[in-house]
Amino acid sequence: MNVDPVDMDALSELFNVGLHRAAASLSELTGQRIGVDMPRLWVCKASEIEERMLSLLRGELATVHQIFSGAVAGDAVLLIEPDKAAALARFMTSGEAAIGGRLDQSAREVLVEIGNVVLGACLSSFGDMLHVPVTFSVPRIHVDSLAGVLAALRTETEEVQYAVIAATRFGLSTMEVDGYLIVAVGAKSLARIFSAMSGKA
Amino acid sequence: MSEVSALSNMALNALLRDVGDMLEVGVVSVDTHGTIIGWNRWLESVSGHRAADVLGRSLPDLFPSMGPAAIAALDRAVAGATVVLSHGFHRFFLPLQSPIDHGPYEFMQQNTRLLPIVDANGNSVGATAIIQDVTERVHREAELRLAIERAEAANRAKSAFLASMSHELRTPIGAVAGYTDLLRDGIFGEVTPAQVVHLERIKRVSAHLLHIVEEILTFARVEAGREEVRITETDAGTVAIEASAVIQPMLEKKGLHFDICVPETAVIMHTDAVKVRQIMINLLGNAVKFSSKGTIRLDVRVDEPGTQVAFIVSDEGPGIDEENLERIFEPFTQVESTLSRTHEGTGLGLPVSRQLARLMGGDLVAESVKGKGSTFTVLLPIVSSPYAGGTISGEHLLVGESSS
Amino acid sequence: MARILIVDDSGYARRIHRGILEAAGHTVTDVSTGMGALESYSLEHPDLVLLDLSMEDLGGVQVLKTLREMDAAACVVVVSADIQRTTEQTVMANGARRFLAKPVSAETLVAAVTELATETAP
Repeated sequence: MNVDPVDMDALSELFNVGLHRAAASLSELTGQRIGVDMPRLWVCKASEIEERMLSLLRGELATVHQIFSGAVAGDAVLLIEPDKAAALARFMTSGEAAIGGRLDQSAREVLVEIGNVVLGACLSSFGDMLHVPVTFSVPRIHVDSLAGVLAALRTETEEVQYAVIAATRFGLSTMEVDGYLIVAVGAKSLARIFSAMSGKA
Repeated sequence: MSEVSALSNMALNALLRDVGDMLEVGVVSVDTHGTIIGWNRWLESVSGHRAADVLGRSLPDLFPSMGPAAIAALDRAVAGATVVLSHGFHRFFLPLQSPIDHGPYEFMQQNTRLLPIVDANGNSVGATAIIQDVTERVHREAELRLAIERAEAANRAKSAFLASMSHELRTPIGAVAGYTDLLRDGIFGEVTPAQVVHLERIKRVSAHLLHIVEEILTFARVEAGREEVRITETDAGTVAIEASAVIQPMLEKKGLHFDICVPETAVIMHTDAVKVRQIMINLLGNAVKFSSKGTIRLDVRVDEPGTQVAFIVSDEGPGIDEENLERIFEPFTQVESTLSRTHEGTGLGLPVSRQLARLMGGDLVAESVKGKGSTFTVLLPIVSSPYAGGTISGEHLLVGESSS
Repeated sequence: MARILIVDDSGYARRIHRGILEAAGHTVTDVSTGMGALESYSLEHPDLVLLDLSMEDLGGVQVLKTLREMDAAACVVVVSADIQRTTEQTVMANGARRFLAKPVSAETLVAAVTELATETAP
């Protein structure tokens, strides 16, 4: 999809700020330093997400899904490979969650919290820029294939759905975890985002 | 109907409290000043505070030991955010008494979700906390983790024990053999021929002791899943010939005949040559030990598709009863022979040989006719695949050019 | 008023900050790389540098150190998305005059620049 490089740059900065905020919150939670890589971004039609991501993500994924509404409305999903997610949960709780490397109940709960922090920080970046509050649903965790995740994104509206995909890497002292964010919004919301960004230019 | 992302009115809150009671979950709501406006029955029963007594007060006021993270989370929710407080990071939201009397928990362990209460215009008018008691599950998980850690520690201790035992046992035996040699060679002074005879005897016995120790250690290592398989390229015929050379002296002493038949062209196997040799020496040694007459044969054959090698050791000894054909592979069992002589040994030779054969993806089988003789066949894949067969698989595999 | 050098790899951030500072009456040059920052500083000697930490060629902290080595009086304000405590400590320990968290509001940025301009004024 053709997006003005100026707008892509702005989106990139928004996600960058959001991810760093999330990293700072997680750092407070765990008492350790957490680094985030500058996110790589793609914008495409929601129907093209699967094709685009197939090369990046295979098999089952641990996902945290939140629905947001307000001036900008849509779905936000954080995707991580399940064993990396379990390792992350285990590491961040000093071994109390994800016993035996499995995504047990404790690990899932920890991941919901992590997902809530990451998605919330990125979405409030949008909200800050648009000067409107964005409200979030209760985040839910699923372990599912990419196709399954995409099917769960809400589709009741007749609007064409677009997606902003951000790829980043979380760096902790002993591991790195690739994380992908998908923010799926309707055409109207996307237009609002772009006009707010260029309005500032 | 699209999902309601936040509670949108007070009636919904009341419903949530009732649902919370049904599901045994705590539901507490506060207004924008943090004043408690809802407190469900579950919370009444676990906290000992009745709703009438808490309405109008604030949570930090009611629970002075409430943590700063919990208070901050409530503030964020009142400001409009959805907050998750997982047990793994926070332990609990409200300091309530632990519901279980076993375990180290003073407080109930909780998972909590905090949601803003939003009016029709989308403005925040308060927040609701939904609190789930996970104490029992957390306790079980902690015990599981402890059990796993103990098992891993025990495993490590076992490995360390075996490693040090190997060293502790071999060293003194080696010293005995070494000093005996030096004595026999006259390094410490002249020795009489009679003394040499006795020194040779000591040498033989200590070599035998070493052999028994090795056998026991191998057995223990394989049982513990600690035996390593070192794969090298070996010619099957060469291994057979080498093993035969070892038992040659015993053979000649007993006046037995020996035939060996190996394939004309080299049969290159990818396997642990040391272990194959060990098995062959054991089988040939047994054949010699239990035979008083006749010929001992060693045949090395490759099967049709060229995937398996058979090493066949046959003797013309007393043979083995059919009912004992499996018993001989049991550890520490020695089946009495008609010669009514208990033979030296640990009773581990055959069990270990079978363990090792299976470790390399093969097997060891026995056939016998009482009074005529016995045949022991070692079947090994040309390319060793340690997990392909048998009940025992080595935990550590080294694939490389190193020899023993 | 002040001559300010903005260093940030994000075009968006450079645009926003330039807008805020020019509206407050300052003169602004901007570059997008660490090397560019060092070159521009040695050629133009701005009164103040607004430095982001995430450049790809040279890390922000490296640029900060080098600027301070080049000119002991260099006045550097770090504006960063990375707001963890260890980062702030490192930055301040290496001679930055202020550490501001992104996204910076216009008020915060203008106030910081004004304070520093009066502090370093001859």
